[in-house]
Amino acid sequence: MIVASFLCFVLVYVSGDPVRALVPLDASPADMENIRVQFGLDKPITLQYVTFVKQALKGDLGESLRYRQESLGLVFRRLPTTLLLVSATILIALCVSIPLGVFTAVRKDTVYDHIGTTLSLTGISIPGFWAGILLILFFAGYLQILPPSGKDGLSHLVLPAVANSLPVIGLLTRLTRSTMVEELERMHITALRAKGLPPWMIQYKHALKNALIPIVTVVGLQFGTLLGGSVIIETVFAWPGVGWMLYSAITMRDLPLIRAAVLVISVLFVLINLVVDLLYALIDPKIRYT
Amino acid sequence: MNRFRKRRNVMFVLGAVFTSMVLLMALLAGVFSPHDYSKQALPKALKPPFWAEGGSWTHPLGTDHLGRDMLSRILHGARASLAVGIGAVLISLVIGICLGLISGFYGKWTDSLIMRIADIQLSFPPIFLAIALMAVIPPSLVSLVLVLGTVSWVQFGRVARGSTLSVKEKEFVEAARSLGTTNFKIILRHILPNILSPLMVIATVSMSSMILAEAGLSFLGLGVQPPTPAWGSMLSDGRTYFNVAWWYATFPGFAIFITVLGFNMLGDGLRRKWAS
Repeated sequence: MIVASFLCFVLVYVSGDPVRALVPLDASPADMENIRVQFGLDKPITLQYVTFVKQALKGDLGESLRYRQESLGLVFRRLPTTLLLVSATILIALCVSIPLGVFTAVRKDTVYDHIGTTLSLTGISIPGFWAGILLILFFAGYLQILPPSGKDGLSHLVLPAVANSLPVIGLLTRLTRSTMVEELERMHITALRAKGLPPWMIQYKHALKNALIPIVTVVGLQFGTLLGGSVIIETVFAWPGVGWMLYSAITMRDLPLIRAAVLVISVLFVLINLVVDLLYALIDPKIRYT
Repeated sequence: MNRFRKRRNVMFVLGAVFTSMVLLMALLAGVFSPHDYSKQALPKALKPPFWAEGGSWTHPLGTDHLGRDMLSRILHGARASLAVGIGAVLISLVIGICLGLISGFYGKWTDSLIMRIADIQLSFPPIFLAIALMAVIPPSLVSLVLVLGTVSWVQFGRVARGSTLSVKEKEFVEAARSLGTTNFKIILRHILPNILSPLMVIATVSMSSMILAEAGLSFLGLGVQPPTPAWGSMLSDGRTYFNVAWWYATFPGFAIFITVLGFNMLGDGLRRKWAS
């Protein structure tokens, strides 16, 4: 998190003189000096960083230049919308990829397996934003059964979540398949089979349980990647979340807002990684944190 | 067994076909393009592809909102995608190999330092880091390559370090050392050649993620800047016209898809080839 704060601070500096972004093009040097003093930009850079962190800890990241409101508040208000989309995406991906992964693993090296593997490779290779546009073309343009963009009820969630989930489905199916193939070859599975347990019970109750650890890791990582990628998919569907706001902040060069959005997403990503680590202990009793 | 081998080859061959197709597109864009990619002709704006009603062979894939030929623009767009992909992969490969070798060979505090840096960088999704950086520095082809290259070295670094750790224990390294070879020479002559093959697989697969990232950034207007055609920015322009010109966003996206799929297949094929 310290690094995140540092990154956000540095971001503003690599963009060049922040004062220049604030003033009109024809501002006089004296005007620029005034603004510099007003925002405390004349102080040494280390002091500026300390002030920035102090303010950030108090939850004050400065006012958005465009909305004239506290930027952190703006980001937090949009956050649930983004989290809704990301969760829906993960949910769809899990519902499709785990059964598909198990299905292909059980039928390893058959035609079904080949079709499944090819499909998942296709899923990984589809750019989510292109899939989004194709879905809009087909379902909103041609069939006209789903709304193309915006957020107003559940029907608006369907297209962005599906488009967003395609690459995740591809990734998770491959992962589920490969870990399941490994699990199914273990001795205890053979023993259960000899005992006469029904195959679905062996697959889902015994083998899948052990295959879950890598899946949980990747789902956690994907959650973070999707948060970062939300900038693109939310822009395609005009989904009013943090990502879309970050996109408009970038186009408007609204630096305080960019900084707040980047900080919130980064901190969230770090927290998710922490949660994933803690989840391991729940799934695998062998892992203990001391 | 036979069937398995067959499939592996199919993967590899298909991947090789797709990627070399794109490579040819990029190299010969000037030869194949029926028109100048930047020539605008407003009266001919938004013409559909040849098989649709109102389309003609003059513009086989139709035209965009400024009347520019889609086929020529897609062919030239391959250049931007591949340039960014190859450049960024090379940069991250070089950074990753150097840091990985140093980290694995010298161990101790150098190792901990480099691996902590890697951990820190891994705590941000690379694509997000790239978006954040590109948002504040002036976008251009060069800055795009540099940013994408530096944000994704970690995977190369980790693998290079892991392989170095195991290779440096081998007898031939010990033999070289007992002959008085310098560390630098050991790393360059004896370790580096032995850690390359897993890195090549990652490099191929990461070509696809770099091209996806480039497309995404160009889509947001943070990547390749007009008038240079890039698939991502064409998609983003085409999105505005989706209800009058379906082909505008469809074709550039398809080009991205085929390229990414090609590199993914090639990577998969290579992995299987070297695993057996």
